[in-house]
Amino acid sequence: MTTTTPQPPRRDGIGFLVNALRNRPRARIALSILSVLLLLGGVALLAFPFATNLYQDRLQQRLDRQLASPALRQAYKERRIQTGDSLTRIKIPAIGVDVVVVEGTTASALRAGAGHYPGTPLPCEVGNVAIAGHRTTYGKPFANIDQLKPGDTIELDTPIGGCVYKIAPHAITVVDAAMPFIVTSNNIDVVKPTPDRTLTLTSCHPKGSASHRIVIQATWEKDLPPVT
Amino acid sequence: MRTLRRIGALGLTAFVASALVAGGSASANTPEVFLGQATGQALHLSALGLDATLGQSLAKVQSSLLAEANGAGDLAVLASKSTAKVTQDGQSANDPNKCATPAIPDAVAAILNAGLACSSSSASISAGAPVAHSDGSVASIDLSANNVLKSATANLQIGQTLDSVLAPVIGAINSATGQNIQLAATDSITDLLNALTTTQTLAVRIGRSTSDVTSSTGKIVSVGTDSGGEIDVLPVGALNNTPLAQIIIGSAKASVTYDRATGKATPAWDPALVTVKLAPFAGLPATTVSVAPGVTQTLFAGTPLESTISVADGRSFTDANGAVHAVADGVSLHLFKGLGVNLADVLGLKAAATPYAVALDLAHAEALGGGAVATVSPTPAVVRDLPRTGGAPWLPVLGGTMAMAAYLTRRYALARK
Repeated sequence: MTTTTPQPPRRDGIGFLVNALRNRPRARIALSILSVLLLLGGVALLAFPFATNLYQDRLQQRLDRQLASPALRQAYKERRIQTGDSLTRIKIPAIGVDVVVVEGTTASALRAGAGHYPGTPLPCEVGNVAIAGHRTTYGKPFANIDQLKPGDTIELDTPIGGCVYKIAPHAITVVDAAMPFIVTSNNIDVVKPTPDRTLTLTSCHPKGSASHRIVIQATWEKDLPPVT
Repeated sequence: MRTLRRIGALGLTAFVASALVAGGSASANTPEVFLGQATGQALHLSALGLDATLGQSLAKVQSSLLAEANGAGDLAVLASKSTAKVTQDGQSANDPNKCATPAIPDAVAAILNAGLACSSSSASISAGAPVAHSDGSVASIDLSANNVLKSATANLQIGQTLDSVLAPVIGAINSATGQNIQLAATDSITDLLNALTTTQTLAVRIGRSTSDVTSSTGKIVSVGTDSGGEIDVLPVGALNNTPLAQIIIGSAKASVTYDRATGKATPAWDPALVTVKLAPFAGLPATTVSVAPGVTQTLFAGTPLESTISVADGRSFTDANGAVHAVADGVSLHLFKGLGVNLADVLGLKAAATPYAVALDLAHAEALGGGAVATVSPTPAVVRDLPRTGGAPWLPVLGGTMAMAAYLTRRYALARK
């Protein structure tokens, strides 16, 4: 026959704290509330990437309608596109990208997935057109930008017409870099003006980190008629 | 409290700095402006008191959302005119196949026969890009002045010999071909005049003139084109069953391409080339003479049939507004110098300004384009860092940690003893 003897109360620090909290009704209520809050917060943070994708998807639907509207076309012609408004559609067949790009690269604007650097030329114009896109979260349109290679095409469709760029074999605005190339986050040379029609895409690198940027640069190939 | 104020001041500074860095929209001081226009004129005819412009077209687009096209078979006949004009995006207008008989004065109606003069016009604006097209044409012009000429030539003093009459022609042929053709002596110009008074005088077949202006993302293209035509002098073959002369006029084209990105307009022109085929007669072989742009060629000099062909070259210029023009100046034919005054007398018409019986101006095409790119105000945006597009990977990790903490809390801290 075996006998069981009650275990003595834990006297270490955590055990003492746990016992003390267990034996106090108000502390139990507080702990209960805290655990619920922790659970809710944890689930919310775990779901954050999926929630941003859902948000971006719904936002894209609105931007898509805006891009086709006569009002935006007129605003585009008069160069009055506001930050966060639809600017162009970007298509990259090689990695299955087809999203609306908004004007601006603020955190708010970039919730659309991709944004046009203010101060760079409008799409298809002479100069270095620069577009930044999310690599994780918010639809992650540039998630696979590292898989692009020279010769791949990038199409921009604006309210007044479009054009096609072809990815260059080497960097255009920085020296001695094969495509795609990596720069630090403060290397703004990649978006400096060019005399010809150029397109620059930037995104964070490596995935999930914002320490560096991955860059793709392309040269103008041909114009396209407006998409009606 | 001091700490709070410091935090507040730092926050405000960061806000102002971020606003400057973020910048605003792609604003502009002036929006883009452009203009494209093309015109074509198939034929201007001055003959026996008739002064008519036939087969005219004009197309125009402007950046202020205007697309307009106007065509005319005969500029003087309303029923042959077409017009199309739109001023709003998504609109289109079409005015096809407006045809009418050209207006011919009663005095010359018996000897001048004109086919239907027609025109078409269309204009549209799609996705902010205006497009305009028009064309104009006249089917034919036939001049049968033989009966009138019979009266007129009765008054002419015909004393020239064939040698003196055709010497300039022979000289031109020998010069052009390197040959040494000699005339078969003493035939008379009377042979020609007999033909002139017994057969149809002129048959004019001209192509249509078209004007097109199209706009796209990158450029505005204005193109005026005239398809040329053929003029047969004494067309029914009074001499060896062939027309005395066939004047074949090639197409003329003028275009201006305006680059919307650079604001530059580039002109181009392709003037008409003229070929004259002379029938074999009086010992002369059948002869073909090309009249190059910038050259004037005289045929049958010194005879009542003296005619000149002037082929203008193309040119371009920039007007006071900065628009670039391209012009293919066309071909001028002045026919039958010795008959104009006499024909006017016979028909009871006021004498024409020139002694020529018939004056034709063909194959004139013109295009213009110009504009200015939008001027963008200096952007306040200063890029100091490339934007973050993939950070915060720790959020899901934090979420997992929090969920685990919640589980542990309920598992151990809240578990019943």
